[in-house]
Amino acid sequence: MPHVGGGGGDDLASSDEIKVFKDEGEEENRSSENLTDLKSSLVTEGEEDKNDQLPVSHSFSGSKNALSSRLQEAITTAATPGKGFEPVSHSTPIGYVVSPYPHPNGTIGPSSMVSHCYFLENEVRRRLVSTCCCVTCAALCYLFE
Amino acid sequence: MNQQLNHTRSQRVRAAMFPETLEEGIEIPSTQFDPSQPTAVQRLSEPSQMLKHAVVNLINYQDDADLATRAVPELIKLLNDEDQVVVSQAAMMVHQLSKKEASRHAIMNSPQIVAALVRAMSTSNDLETTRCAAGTLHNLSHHRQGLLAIFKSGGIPALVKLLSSPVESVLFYAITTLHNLLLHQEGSKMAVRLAGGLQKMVALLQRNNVKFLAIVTDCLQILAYGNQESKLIILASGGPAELVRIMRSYTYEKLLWTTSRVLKVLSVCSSNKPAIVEAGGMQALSMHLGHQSQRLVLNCLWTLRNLSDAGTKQESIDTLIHGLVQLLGSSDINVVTCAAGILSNLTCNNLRNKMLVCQVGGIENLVRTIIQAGDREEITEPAVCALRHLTSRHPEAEMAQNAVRLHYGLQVIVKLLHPPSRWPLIKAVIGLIRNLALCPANHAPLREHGAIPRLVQLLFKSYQDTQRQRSSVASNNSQSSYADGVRMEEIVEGTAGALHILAREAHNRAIIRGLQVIPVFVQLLYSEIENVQRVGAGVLCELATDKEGAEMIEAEGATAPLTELLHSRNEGVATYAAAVLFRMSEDKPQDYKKRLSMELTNSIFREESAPWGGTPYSFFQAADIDMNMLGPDEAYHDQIYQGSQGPPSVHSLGGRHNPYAQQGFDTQVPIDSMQGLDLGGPQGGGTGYAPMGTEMDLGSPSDLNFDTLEPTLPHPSSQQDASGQLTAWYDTDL
Repeated sequence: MPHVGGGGGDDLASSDEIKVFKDEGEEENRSSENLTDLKSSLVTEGEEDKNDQLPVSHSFSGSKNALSSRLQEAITTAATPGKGFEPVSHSTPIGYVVSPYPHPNGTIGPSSMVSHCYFLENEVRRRLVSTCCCVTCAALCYLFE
Repeated sequence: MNQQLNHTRSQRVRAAMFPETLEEGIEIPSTQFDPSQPTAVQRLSEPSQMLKHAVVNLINYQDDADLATRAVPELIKLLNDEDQVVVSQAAMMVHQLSKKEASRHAIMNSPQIVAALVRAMSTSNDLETTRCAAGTLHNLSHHRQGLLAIFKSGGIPALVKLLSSPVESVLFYAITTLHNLLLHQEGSKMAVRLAGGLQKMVALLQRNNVKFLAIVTDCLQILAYGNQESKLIILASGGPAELVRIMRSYTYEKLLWTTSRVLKVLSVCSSNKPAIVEAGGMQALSMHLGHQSQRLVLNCLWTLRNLSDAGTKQESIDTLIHGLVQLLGSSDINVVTCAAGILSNLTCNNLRNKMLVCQVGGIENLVRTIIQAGDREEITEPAVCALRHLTSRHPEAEMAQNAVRLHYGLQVIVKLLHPPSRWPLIKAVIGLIRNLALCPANHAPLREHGAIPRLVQLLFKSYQDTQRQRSSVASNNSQSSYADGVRMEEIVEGTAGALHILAREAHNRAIIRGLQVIPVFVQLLYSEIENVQRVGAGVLCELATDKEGAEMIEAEGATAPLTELLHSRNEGVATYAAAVLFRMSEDKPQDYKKRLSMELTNSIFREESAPWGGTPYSFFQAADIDMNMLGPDEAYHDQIYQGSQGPPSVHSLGGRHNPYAQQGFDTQVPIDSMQGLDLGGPQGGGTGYAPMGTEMDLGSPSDLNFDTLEPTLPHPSSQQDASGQLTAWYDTDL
């Protein structure tokens, strides 16, 4: 039979049409950031469970003296004579310890090696700002020259 | 005195800043004269103390960093030791160091120690080693440098391996570290895919820690977005069913949100789509349409819309339909847009869904949505499409056609035929108007809102476009004229079709006649597209109801193309053509009418064509009517069959072989097609078809006995004149 359109007596009506939608949205990586809390919480959960479930971790015992002594040695050679204000020379760049902000008294001492560590940056800034006064900042600069 | 004071100044400063360095018992004389006026040193005393503490802390930090840096080479050796116990201890130490800011940097900055950690993590049988190493990597993964170090040391395959760990702490370190890498480290996605991460993550969907699942699903979303291969791997691993199960089983919003996003990404994949639908995805998603989290609702809607074309046969979606009709009232444009689009698809050729939408107030909501949307086509287009579906081909269609009018929809709908509407919307509106016109009560309002002139204008424009397209493309006629993705042929057919239905009403016909569009209708008869021929013949059939119309049609030279169309293999086309010819022949002399009858009959009996599986009932009706007109004296059938082997009339009985019997005779179509013709029906506006004025006796096909048809039949009646040219039946040179 020829197809006279649609069903029974409704061949005079418009035909229905389907439409294919393919909307994947945008790459919403930015909105994944609010999972940061989730991740910390999960890791904490895992660590707490570990403490409950797993046996007490190994402690330094006689058979491990060799290990501890080796480490002690390493630590000793690294130790500085005492905590004080001796200028510490560093051969490898570790991070910066001077505020990157320009100072009215002139440029800050040695070139700061900016690391990617925001914590250090904020810490230094916070502490310097809280104690800032011309004289003391100048003193600080001297110390790190 | 001054000398003494000068000498002690440095002591005073020293005492103020570094009291701990003073020897016991020494007293530094103060220079304060006025008790209310502190000295300079006294004023500096407190701030200098604070500064001192700050610097001490910094130096400690520096010490930590220094310490770690010096310890790193040793730690590397220890991590690479053969003794597993040593390795374990070293790993613990590194883990501890990684918890502190300064030492963490020392670790990050040493590619060798990161590599050693990765190696220890992968190869060790000791749980503590693995755990501490993984924990260290996790800490490192909060820094760009750390991520890079992990990536470069082959950390990703090692971490993916850990996804099989039965120890939760290890598993959690691994997944969070991988998530950080996927988010921030370039190259990670590919590495995770290559390491078989997708399959493992899908397997992890069986766990029941909601936070964990949220991270896993987010990883899957990052990996699958825009990556067809990943989507197929997820499908092959049974992802859709697991994801749908999560949507059904949990209530934690973050997890529902991340999971809905994975489903959204998968739902654009033509292989995943049916799998999600079959797993009950549409029902699961619709559970959350009333959620207070807007981002969740939206992601569910986008996913549903992507799935909707595959979901037209789904059962148990009553909740979904209810929900969608309600959501049409949302104040969020995205929500309304999606809801309309989904409804449009779900009502496509689905009787049950159409009726359900009507029953829950869908018509009213859709009309209101259209009114409120103004010229926002992203909303009006799917809403108009939905209404178009709802106004046809289901038991409540007529109710729906009325409801659109009752909810004040006609005016806004006709308005949408005008700019700034683009072609897709215009096309949808034309289809809707065609359906609305099936309801007689809508004829006058549609006319009053100016539908007819606008439809005619659109027909002119689209027709011209198609003609221009034909002439511009030299020999290739298969190209169409597109505008905004819409073929102009579709507009031609749609507008003519709408006018066809509107022309059922006499006043409308008068307007149509007055718009000089009959020539275009006649031109449509020449189209190669059957549907276009059909609407052309159909609208002419209606217009021919009036004498003026019939005359105008004939004056446009319609007879010839209509005669051609009598032979169409499309029954509707042939039927309409026959009907128009009949109506046009009303005032003609008898012999003209006779020749017309013969032409019609001959068309019926052409040997080479009988595609319908049976002679259309309609033709016999046409012949029957003519017989009545000729009067009982005329042995019409004798005249027709003169010279043949004496075939019987259609009414005679006899046991002759029916050549059409094998092809079967469908009792359905002819009646239905005839109902569309309204030949001589009550609304025919006063013409001279008195003999035809009685309603066509459609009866039942069984009244006609085809058993008596003679196999050999007469040839077409066209005769040859002296020069050998065929002359048409309507040639009046007799």
